[in-house]
Amino acid sequence: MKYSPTVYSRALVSAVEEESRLHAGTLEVKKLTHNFVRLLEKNGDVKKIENIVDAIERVVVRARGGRLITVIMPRKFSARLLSNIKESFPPEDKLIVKIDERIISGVKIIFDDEEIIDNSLATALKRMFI
Amino acid sequence: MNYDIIEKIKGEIKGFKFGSRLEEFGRIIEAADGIVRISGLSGALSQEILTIETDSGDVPALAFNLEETVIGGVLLGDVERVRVGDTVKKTGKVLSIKVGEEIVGRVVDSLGVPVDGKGVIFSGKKEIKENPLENSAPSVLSRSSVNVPLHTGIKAIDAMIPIGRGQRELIIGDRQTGKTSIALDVILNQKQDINNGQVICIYVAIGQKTSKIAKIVRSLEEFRAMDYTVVVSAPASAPAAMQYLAPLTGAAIGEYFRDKGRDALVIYDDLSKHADAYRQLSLLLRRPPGREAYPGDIFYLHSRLLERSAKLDKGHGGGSLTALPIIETKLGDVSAYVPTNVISITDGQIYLESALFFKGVRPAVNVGLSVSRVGSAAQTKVMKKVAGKLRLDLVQFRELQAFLQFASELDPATKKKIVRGELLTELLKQTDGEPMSFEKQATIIYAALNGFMDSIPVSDIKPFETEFIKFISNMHDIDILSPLRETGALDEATETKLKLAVEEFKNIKK
Repeated sequence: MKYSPTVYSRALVSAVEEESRLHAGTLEVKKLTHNFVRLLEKNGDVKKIENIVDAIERVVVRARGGRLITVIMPRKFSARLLSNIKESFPPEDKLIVKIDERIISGVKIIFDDEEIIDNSLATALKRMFI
Repeated sequence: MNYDIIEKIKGEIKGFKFGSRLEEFGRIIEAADGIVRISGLSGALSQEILTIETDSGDVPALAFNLEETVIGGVLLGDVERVRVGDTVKKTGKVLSIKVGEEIVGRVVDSLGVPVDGKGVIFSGKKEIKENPLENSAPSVLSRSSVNVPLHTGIKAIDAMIPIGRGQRELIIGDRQTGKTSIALDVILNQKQDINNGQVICIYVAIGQKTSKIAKIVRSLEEFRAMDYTVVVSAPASAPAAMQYLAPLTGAAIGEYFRDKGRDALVIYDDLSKHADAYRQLSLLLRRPPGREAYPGDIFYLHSRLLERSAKLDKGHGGGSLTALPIIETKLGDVSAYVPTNVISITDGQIYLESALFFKGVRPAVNVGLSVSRVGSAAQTKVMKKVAGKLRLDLVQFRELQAFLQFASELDPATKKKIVRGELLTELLKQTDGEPMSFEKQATIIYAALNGFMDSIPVSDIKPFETEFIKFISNMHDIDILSPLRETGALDEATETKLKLAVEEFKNIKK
């Protein structure tokens, strides 16, 4: 990879912000995005587009003062429970829900891909028998 | 199924407390060649141990490079288990090993894990301490001068290049010149040199063949030297990280005994391979390469390792850690990068020459280029008195040797010097695995330097020496060897007895 996803994401977000300042009301986001993808093609980094999109999401959420929160559950929870979880966090935060059966039970909450609260049964069992 | 085990596990389950806590974590973004790159974990400390949570268990790693957004880590466990995307957590601990009396006699790897198949090292009945691998050297004020000899059992070294407890003496030479043999003889000699206290020996094998390490361990066991020796093994098949850590492990073990007021000796065999392992790690972590592609801090790597060897003052226990680092040169080039670095750090060097080795002079010590900067301060009085002229006689002989080839007639004084030089050269030859105690060395060197052996042909010197030592051990142990051993000095009365003993032996030989 020529540049890291963080570098790409910051460059794109900064370009969008500049564009909105210079051409208020005529923001050509589609054109910028198109150019961005062409740039990735040129650098040979199109295969990493998923990581880059994740990084862009992180940058955008942080710029709004929020955090990217990933909630990992062992199975699909009910809509009511999901709604309760979402209301526990401020509106600026972006919530992503993932299903991972390997945690067996409980929940894992990851903040900005840097901090974690791990209340899963799998981790509890691992810690118990260390 | 064992009932006790079931009850124990039941107790652990009932008493288990699991609370929620916010932890920092990172992710593996690159893993190859024993190196991992981790994103996140912005609070990780340098040299902190990290835990990589893989599908098949946790793998430890060391935070080596702290960059702006990424940490360069060195894997300390099974590299095949680590995948991109694995979670990494901090432990808050620096790399350390458990040390205690029970580690003596064992063969361990760089992380202190036993590899000799003799089971767990620490039973929990004796004191165990966690010593960090990276530790700061003792301060200037906590040190005292080196004044207690560390006898190697090798005549050429004890007489002319004396080593003291707490000194760093480099053993340098090309491959197959006897560097490891000297190191092993030093270890073997500590069995009989216990007047100033038993020295605990630590042999650190870095990047060597596993068969060679096995042979060394077997040899130490055969001579019962493993009773006071620890072997740290990081063979050529070990990852570069283990070869890099091995000397630090040896130093950490030695520091335990040093800080307890005891004397320890650590042999790093060899630091050239240690430098190569460090270069490999640094290049993989993309640190800028310097001269000969070594990283810029290669000097600091060895200086901070060797500075941990010191003699402490009485207020800090009076213990010592002596270091015998070994460096392998290529084609006798002592002016290469790493050899010159280590020469400038150590308190002297023992230079082994291939030319001398192939001529049959073994140990192949080049007396002219070898030096001990501590000198006679670390020599017993008897050796100082007896061997004072030895180096001068040998140096004069080396200079006169050139005349032998083209001069037809030599004056009597020159002939005498040449005869004496040939005698001394033959006398200083010694088979490896047969270290000689200092008091016996003193008697034979006294006999040689005071003209008692001038009439003996060169070819008969070794048999004369062997029989003389046997004679003096059997017949004069109480009146000559014991006083020398106990006092370390040659008083008038003992000297007279020694002269008479030599005359007596010569008469018997007639």
